[in-house]
Amino acid sequence: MPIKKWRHELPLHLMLLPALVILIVFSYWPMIGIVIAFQKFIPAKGFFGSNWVGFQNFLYVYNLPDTFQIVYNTIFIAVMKIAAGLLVPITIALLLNEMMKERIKRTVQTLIYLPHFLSWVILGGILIDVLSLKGIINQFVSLLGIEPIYFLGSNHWFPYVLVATDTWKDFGFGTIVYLAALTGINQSLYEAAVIDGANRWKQTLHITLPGIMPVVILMTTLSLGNVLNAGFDQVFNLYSPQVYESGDIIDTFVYRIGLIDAQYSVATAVGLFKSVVSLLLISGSYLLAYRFAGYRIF
Amino acid sequence: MKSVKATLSLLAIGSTLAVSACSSSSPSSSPSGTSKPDAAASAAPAGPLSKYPSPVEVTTVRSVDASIKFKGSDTIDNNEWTRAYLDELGIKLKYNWIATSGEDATQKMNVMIASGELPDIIPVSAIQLKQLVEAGLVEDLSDVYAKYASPLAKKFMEGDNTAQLDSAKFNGKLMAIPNTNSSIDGASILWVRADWLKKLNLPEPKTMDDVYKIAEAFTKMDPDGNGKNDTFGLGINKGIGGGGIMGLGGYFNGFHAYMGSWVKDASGNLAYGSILPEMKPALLKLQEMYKAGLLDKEFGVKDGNKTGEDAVAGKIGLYYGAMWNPINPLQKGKDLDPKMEWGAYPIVSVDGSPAKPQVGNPVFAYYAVKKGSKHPEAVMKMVNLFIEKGWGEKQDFDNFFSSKEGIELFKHAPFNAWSPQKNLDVHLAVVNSLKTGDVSKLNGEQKATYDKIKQFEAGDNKTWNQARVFGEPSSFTVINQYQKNKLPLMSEFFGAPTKTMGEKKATLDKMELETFTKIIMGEPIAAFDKFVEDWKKLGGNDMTKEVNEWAKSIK
Repeated sequence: MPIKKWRHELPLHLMLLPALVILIVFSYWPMIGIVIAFQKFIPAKGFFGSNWVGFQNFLYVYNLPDTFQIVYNTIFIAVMKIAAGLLVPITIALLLNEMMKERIKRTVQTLIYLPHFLSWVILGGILIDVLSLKGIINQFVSLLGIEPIYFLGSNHWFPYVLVATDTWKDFGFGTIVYLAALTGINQSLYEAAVIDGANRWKQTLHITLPGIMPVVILMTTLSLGNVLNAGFDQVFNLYSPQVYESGDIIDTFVYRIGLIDAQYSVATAVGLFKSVVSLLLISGSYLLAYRFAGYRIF
Repeated sequence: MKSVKATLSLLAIGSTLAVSACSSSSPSSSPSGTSKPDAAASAAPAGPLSKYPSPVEVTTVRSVDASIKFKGSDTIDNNEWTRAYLDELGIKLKYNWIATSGEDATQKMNVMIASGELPDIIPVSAIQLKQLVEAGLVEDLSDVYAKYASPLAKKFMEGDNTAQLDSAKFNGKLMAIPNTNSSIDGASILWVRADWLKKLNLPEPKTMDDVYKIAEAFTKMDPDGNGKNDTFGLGINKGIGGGGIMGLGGYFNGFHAYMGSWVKDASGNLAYGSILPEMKPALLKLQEMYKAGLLDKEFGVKDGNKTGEDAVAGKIGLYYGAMWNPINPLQKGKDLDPKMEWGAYPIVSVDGSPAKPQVGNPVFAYYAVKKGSKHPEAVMKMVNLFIEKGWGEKQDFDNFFSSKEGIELFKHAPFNAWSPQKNLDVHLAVVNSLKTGDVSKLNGEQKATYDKIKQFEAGDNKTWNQARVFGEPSSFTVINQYQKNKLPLMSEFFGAPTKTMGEKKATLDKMELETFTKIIMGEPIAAFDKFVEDWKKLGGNDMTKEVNEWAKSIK
C-alpha cells in the first residue's frame, strides 16, 4: 500500500484506537481466565495455586448422562429459532411494505416492536397464564373442538412454544431492519418492471428479494453465531422439571453447575466449548456468505 | 452472543482474581501466618465479657443493606454497638471496607479471599468458609470457644442440638463462630381455610386421612360457593419438597419420608431421605390425588410465588407452608376478601407415630478469624456481648436491638448470634401479655408485635398477619407444640458441600425432581426404583460415604 494513502487514512485508523483498547481490556485480557477450565479451580488459591487437571473437566461433562440430550435440545431449539427469526420478519416486512396507508404501517410497526422491550421474567409470568389449560389460547383451541393442550408441560410442545414466543417477542425488531433495507431499493427498478409488465408478485421476486438479500445474509451470518445460544432468559423462566427432557439447554445447565454448585471450572469448560463451536460456525457461515453471495463484512 | 459475553464476564472476574493474587504475597509463604496465639491469648483478659486493659484494634469487613438507619448523628463506624465494644470490651472495631449490595459484597469478598489480604475477622458463607479452611487461611477457634464463650452463648450454639456449632467444624476443629438462628422457624405448617372447613362442616385435620378428605371436599364441593368447579384440593409447587409456599416437605414428613434431607437409618448411618422406601407410598398417594383431580394439573410450571397467587385468589384452601405465610402471601388474600380465614395446624401423620417436621441448618453466616490474628478471641467476646444485650443479664433490647422509634439497631452489630427460640419467645411473651394485659415485661420488638395484634383485634384487617404469625392461634402455637414434643428433625448433614456434592448434586437433584414430578403425573412407580439405582450409581454412593465420614469427623 502506498505510504501516501496510508498517511491519508491515519486519522481514521486512530479513531479505531479507543474501541481497540476497550476490546483488549474487556474482551481479550479476561480470556486469560479460560485457564480455569483446565484446572481444579479453588478461588482462595487463585490461578497459580489451583491444580492443573488437563481435560478432566471436559471429560467429566462428556460423561454426564444428560450431555447429549442437552446439546441436542440446544441445537434443535436454536436452529428453529433462527429459521423462524428470518422468515417471519421478512414476510411481515414485505407485507407492510405493500401497505399503502403510511399511518397504519407506522402503528403496526410500533406495536409489533413493543414486546422486544419486555423482559423474560415478566413475559414468563404472563405466558404461564396465557398458555395454561384454562388460558386464552386453550379457550380458543377448545372452541375448535380440540382438547386443551398443556403447552408448557408437554415435552412435545415445549420447544415449539419456545420458538413461537421468542419469534413473537423479537420479530418486530427484525421487521424494522428489513423495512429499512427495502427503502434502499432503487424505485426506478420498479418503474422499469411495471413497463415490462411485471405484476406485484414478479416485482417482489425479481426486485425486492434480491434487493434485500445482502441484509438477509448479514442477519443470517450474525445469527449463526447464536446456534448454541438457545436463550437462557427465556428457557429459565418457562421451563420446569416436566420439560427438562426437551427444554434443558447448555446455558441452563451451566447455570446450575456454575452458579448453584459453584463448580467454576466445569462451567468454564462448557462455556469454552460453546464459544469454540460458535466461532467455527460463524467463521464457516462468513466464508459461505462470501463464496456464494460475495458478501463481506470488511 | 449473550452467553459468550456471560462467559467472558465470568472469566473477567476470574482474571481479576488472578491479578490480585499475584500482586500480593502468597499467604502460605508468609511465616507470620503461624504466630503465637498463646502469647496473644495470655495477654487477653480471661472472662467472656471482660475488658482489654488497653483498647485493641480489630479489623473486619461487612455488607449493609440499604434499609439500615441510625439514631441521631450515628454512623456505621460510630454507633451504640461500636461504642459498647469499646467501652465494655476494650475493642476498637475498624472496617476495611463496607459493601452496600450483596453482589458487591460477594465480589469484594472473593477478591479478598483470593488475594489473601484478609481482615482479622472474616464474615463468610458456608462455601467460602470451606474455601478458607482448605486454603489454610484461618485460625482454629476450638480453644477460643472453650475458653471465652459465655454460658448463654454456649446454650445458643449447643443447647438441645449441636448442629449449628458443628456446621463450623472441620475434622473436629472449630474454624468459625456461627451466627446461630432459629431452626424451628423452618418447620412445616399445615395451612387450612378455616372458613371453608366451617362451611362444608368438615373436621380439623388430625390425620392424613383427614387431609385427603378435606382435599377432596375442597375440590368437589365448591367451597367458595361460586357454582364453578375451580378449586384445588392440595396446593403444590414445582419444587415439590421443601417448605416455603406449598412445598410438600411437611406432607412427606407425614409419611416419615424426608425429601432432600439426610437422616439416620436403622444402623445409625446417614442416608439420603429422597431415596428411602418411605418416599414410595407418599408419591403413590400424590399420584392418586393427581388422577382424581385434587392437585393442580399445572403444578409443574408454578413456583411458590405463582401458587401463592392461587391461595390469594381463593383457589386453594389446603397446603403445607411456612410460618411466615400470613405475611406473604396470605395477607393479600385477606385484603381482597376479609372473610378469608386461615388456620395453622401441625402436620399430620399417616400412622400412629407423630410426624416430625424436617428442618435445615439455619446458619447463614460464619465468623472466621485470620490465621495469625493477634486477638482471635475478640470475635467471641463481641458475639457474647450481642447475646448478653439481647437475652442475658445485660438485656437492653430497646437500646441495642430495636428502638422505640422502630430503628433496627441490631443491624449495626456486625457479629450476631440469635436465640434458637427468638420468634417463639416473642409468641410466648405476647400471648402471655394478651392474657394478663401486663405489657411491662415486653421488649421493643415484642411490644410492637403486641400493639399490632391489639390493632387487629380492634378490627384492623391490615395487621391480621401479625396475629396469625405470633398471636393465638397462630404459626407459633403450632411451632410451640412441635418444640414441646421435641418433634423437629434437623438434617443430619449440615456441613459445607462435600467433594462429590459439588460435582454431581446438580445432576442428581435434576433427576430427582424430574422423576418425582413424572410419578405424580402418572408414571408407574417402578420409575422410583430406577431413580434410586441411578442415584446411587451416579455419585450418590460417594456422597453418602463422604457424608458419613463428615459425621465421624465432627465427633
